[in-house]
Amino acid sequence: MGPLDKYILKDDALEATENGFQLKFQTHWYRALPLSCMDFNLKIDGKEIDKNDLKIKANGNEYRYDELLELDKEWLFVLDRGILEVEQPIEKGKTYDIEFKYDLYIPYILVGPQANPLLASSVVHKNLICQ
Amino acid sequence: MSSNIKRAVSLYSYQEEFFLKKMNLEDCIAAAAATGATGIEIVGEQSVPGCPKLPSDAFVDQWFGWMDKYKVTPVAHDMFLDYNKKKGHYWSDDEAVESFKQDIRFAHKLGFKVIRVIVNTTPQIIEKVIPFAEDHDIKLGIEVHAPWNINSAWMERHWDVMERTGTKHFGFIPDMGGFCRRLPRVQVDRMIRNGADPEIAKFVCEQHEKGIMAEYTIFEVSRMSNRRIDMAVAELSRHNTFVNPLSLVPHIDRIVHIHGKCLEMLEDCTEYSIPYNEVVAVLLKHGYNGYIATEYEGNRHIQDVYEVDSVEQVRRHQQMLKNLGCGI
Repeated sequence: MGPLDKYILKDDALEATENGFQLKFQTHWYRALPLSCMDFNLKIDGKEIDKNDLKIKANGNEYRYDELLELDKEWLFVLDRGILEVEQPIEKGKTYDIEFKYDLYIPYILVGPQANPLLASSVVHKNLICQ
Repeated sequence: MSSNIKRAVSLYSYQEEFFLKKMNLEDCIAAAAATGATGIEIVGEQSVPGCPKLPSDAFVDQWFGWMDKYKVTPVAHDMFLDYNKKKGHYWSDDEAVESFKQDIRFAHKLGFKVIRVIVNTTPQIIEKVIPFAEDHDIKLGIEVHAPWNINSAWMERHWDVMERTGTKHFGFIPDMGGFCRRLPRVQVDRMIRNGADPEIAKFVCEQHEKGIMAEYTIFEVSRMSNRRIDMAVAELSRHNTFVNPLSLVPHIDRIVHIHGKCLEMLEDCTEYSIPYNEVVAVLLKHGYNGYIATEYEGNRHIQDVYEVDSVEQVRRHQQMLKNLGCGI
């Protein structure tokens, strides 16, 4: 979207877990949106993660990627971070090349003849040290 | 000099610092109060965790505690209709009405007396909601936002509902962005930084200042350039309209609130593109007695090269309103 894209992933965004890793992200759209209005693409060291391998966490709740479109009541507040969790072990302390495409479908700005939600897309490319 | 026009601040104005966690919600309220404003406006989903769910009792207590501490009053909550939250599913009117009622419940719980209704809300939906708003003593105000103006056909349809129902709980909320005599410099400069042709940008600005209809300017630019960014500059003239402030006069009693849009407040406390002195003079002369809420939105146009200082921009806007005779 713009200059604030760099804040979507903070320096501590990548974290090792018991079974793999998680990536913490924050939206910089000025208004909270539900998870159903979001989509994600994640590459780690150039290799794309299969979306079906993503788990999405927000507000203490956990969902499969294929549930995303139904999550219109799970809102991510503008100051909170959502989490993508992947069961793929990575090494704590090692630096990884992360490419994160974060799509927001703005549900109240409808554009085009089909009145589709406006797509506000950001791509963040960062080297992150696994925490 | 004072008048019956009161001054408020929309906390939306501080969105940059809020997002960057340089200011929390209390800091935003304190900054607004420090300008001398007595009213607070919010976008619920921006300021209140959990919104659109109703805030917890603990939050409500804290909220009113802040209102007392900083001697301000909740004035307006800005609502949106999220028509397309699920891919392929577009809300029915009943779903939109239910969402709207939730905004009314939310606003009522936090003490707001006005809801800014997003401009694309249909008159039919508003008419269905009016009795619920009346029950909660909340005034609904359709946002009069550029490129529409208060006499646009879309607003006439809303006006018809106001007249036909005779309700005191539905009116207009003009956005001062509809009075841009000059194109906002921060927007034009940003587009030049993004690659727009400076000569075309200069041409568009001149056309706008002459009052040339935006569609003619867009057509002329389409003959000068086939680049999207140059067309976007031309389209600024469509989205930053100027209408005569006298257009507000016939509707003055139906204006329930005003959005004091500003994109670039200068050191002398004037807005670069909006002749506030002319608009406020009309409001004073014709007896508008509601709030004007500062809505600073310039951050998004300068954040690529400058550190945003929303607090100072809001302060200057409030000082300008005070200089023009609004508030104490």
